[in-house]
Amino acid sequence: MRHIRHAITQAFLLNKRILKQPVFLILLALVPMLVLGVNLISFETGSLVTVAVAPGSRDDSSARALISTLVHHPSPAVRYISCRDDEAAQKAVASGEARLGIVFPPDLDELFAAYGAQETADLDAGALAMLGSLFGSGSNSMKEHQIICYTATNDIVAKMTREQLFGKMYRDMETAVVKVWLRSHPEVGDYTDTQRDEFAEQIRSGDIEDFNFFELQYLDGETITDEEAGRYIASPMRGLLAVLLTLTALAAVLYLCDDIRKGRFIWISPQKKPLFYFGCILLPIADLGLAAYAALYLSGNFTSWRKELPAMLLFGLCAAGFANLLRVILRRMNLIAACVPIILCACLFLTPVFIDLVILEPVQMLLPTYLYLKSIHSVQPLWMMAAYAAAAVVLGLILGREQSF
Amino acid sequence: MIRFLTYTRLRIKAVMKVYPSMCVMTLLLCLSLGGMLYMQSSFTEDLTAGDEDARVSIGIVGIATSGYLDTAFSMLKNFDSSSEEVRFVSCKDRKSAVKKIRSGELYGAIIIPEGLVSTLLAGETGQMTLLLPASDSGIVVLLIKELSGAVSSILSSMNSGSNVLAEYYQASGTSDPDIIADAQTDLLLTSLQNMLHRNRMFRVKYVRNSGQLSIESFYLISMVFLLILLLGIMCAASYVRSDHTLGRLLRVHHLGSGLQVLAEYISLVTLLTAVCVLFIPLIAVALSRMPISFSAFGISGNMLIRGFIKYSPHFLPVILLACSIDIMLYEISPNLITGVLMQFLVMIALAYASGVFYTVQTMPKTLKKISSCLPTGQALKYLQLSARHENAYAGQLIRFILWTAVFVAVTVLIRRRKLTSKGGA
Repeated sequence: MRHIRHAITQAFLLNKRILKQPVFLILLALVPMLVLGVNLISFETGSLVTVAVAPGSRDDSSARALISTLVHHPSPAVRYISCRDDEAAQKAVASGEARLGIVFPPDLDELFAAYGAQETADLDAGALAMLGSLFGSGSNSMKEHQIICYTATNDIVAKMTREQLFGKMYRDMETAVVKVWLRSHPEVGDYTDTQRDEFAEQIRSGDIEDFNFFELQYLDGETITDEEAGRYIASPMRGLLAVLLTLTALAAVLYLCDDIRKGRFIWISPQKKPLFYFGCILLPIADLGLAAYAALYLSGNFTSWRKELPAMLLFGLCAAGFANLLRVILRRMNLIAACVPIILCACLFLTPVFIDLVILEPVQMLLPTYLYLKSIHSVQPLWMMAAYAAAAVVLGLILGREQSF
Repeated sequence: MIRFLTYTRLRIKAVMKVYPSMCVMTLLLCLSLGGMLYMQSSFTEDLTAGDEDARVSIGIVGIATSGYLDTAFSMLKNFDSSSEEVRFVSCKDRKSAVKKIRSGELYGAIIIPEGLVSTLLAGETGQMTLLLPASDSGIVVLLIKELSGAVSSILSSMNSGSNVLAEYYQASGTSDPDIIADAQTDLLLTSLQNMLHRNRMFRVKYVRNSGQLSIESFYLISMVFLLILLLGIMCAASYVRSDHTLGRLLRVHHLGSGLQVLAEYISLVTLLTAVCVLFIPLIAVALSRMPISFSAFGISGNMLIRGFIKYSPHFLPVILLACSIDIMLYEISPNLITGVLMQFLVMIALAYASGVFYTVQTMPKTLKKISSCLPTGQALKYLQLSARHENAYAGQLIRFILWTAVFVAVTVLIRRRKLTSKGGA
């Protein structure tokens, strides 16, 4: 009991000492500032891609109506800006104002009609017939009324934008398909072509269904809401908090090295030194971890305490173990200080803070932020983080013990 | 003057002792930044090149529950233009799909519930699940959501078409559900076949001398810019002082704060320039071996090396700015630890707000305004404009050179205050 009280008193005094350091106070203050700043900015998120659209002809009402819909209903990913004509759209792309320029044909309805009038194969005839229809003449009339797409590079962004535009135009195209289908089946009903077309027009004039047939989910089954997906500027926040915690661990190591150099802990027995030093690193991480946990809860990025709490606790241990291991391996304060930007850049760029790519996973897994960020939505299980923490802490303590003696 | 030159020479000599260790650290830093550049650029590059092994694999669960889905899946897999970028793989169930996603075999999976097609054909709505291995919502999730929205619009319209057809049949006096269902199926498959030709609706025309950098060139410039900003952290030990005895001694010997700061600034610029002179050709050689095209500098190989080295003098004004910010932060810091941490935080914050990690066009309005006011934002814009060979970069250059002078002046003032204070060290 006496030992426990002694340990708690020591921890309290050490913590008090740490919190007097301006750097730690700045780091603590950064947590709510970061969350507040990112949240404020994310509510006025811009768009990833800007597309300039222009009608082929000023008299084309269909194109004007479509452009109006595109311009007045932007999405977080794609924003459309209206241009007067082909030249203006080209200029917008050339100047960098827009990523793509879209110019509709002089008569957009002709394009839709051509789309609907494509020759299609009898599907019962098999795959070869379908293949034949791909190279058939059905699509030739579409070529006379093509939408021109100006771009600097025909990359994945350009292709995705065209797919999105196709989706927005599809009601009109489905109307054209149905018109052609009805005319090609005159045996059904006793109607004129005009009456059949009127039926088909119900598709175009019907209410727009704003229904997404896809529910996006993380691997653990949690739904990705529309609001969450749209706030991409705020998405690195969890990663940035994790990097801040890693920075705190490295800062704690630097202060500890300075204290060791000045002989401040000479009174600690060699057997207890490794654990004591580990405790010196863990304490500021605990303080910042608490602040980060609270910040996550208030930020809107919080999932549930059942997931977040164990993940945060384990991550604290991972960061402390990693930093301590670094201390016992490198030993010199100048060397550790020089490694700080390298390690933090590796955490920023090789782990899913800004972008989630897996290319050098064995190297990525050495960084404490990687497993933490992957564990939140069960991409990687929690036990991997526990194993990492155990390995880093134990190795650090063993190597530290050898150095003490 | 002689004292100033002597002090400058001694400072340069002192800091050049850390040059070898700086080079080692810079190499490690380059590997981190290069890793990100490679990951970002080659992922996109492989997709656009249509490399077989680099196609994104998406699993689909529930195909076997419906003959229509089977046919649609076959068409999608074999004939649709998306097959250049995406490979669809049929999976047994959700559990096996999740397992394949975790192992990296699949990027995502679409789970189609049983009876969905019948539900849709009956005019009701139903949802499919799109499983993503995302750690958090980000740009990739946003793009996938956008694409899923486009597909939903298409499905919605097809659903409407199907409903209209049913109404047409009923209005024509046909109420037999089997006949109506057959007609709806025929219409559905016709619509799917028509979709296979959708690429022919577009004609792509390339705009030469576009005002945009390719995404690869953008990230290359951003990463080199970030490297320059972070270089100063690694030599902080040579500049951060908690004891100003030397400074006071120099002042006594008529080498005032201004000349001291200028000498140290020159030594820092020399050090960073020496590191960049070594690494820029190495970076150029490494880039020429990457399977990525950096169109702003050259298409590939020797052209790229020559183009990048020819472009490299543009980094010198940026080095001058970075050194001025570094020297100011060194002067503010009371000790090495505070110096290192403060420098890192300031540089990363400046880099983020300047548009290193996201292009300025994708940023919200507030951040765009902040970026244009920041010296690092102006420096980054200068690098981007000069890569596009635009003459407008001169204005940016003048602005951030003025900032450089301001930071050096502030450093001098802080040094003077420290040297004249009665507090001692």
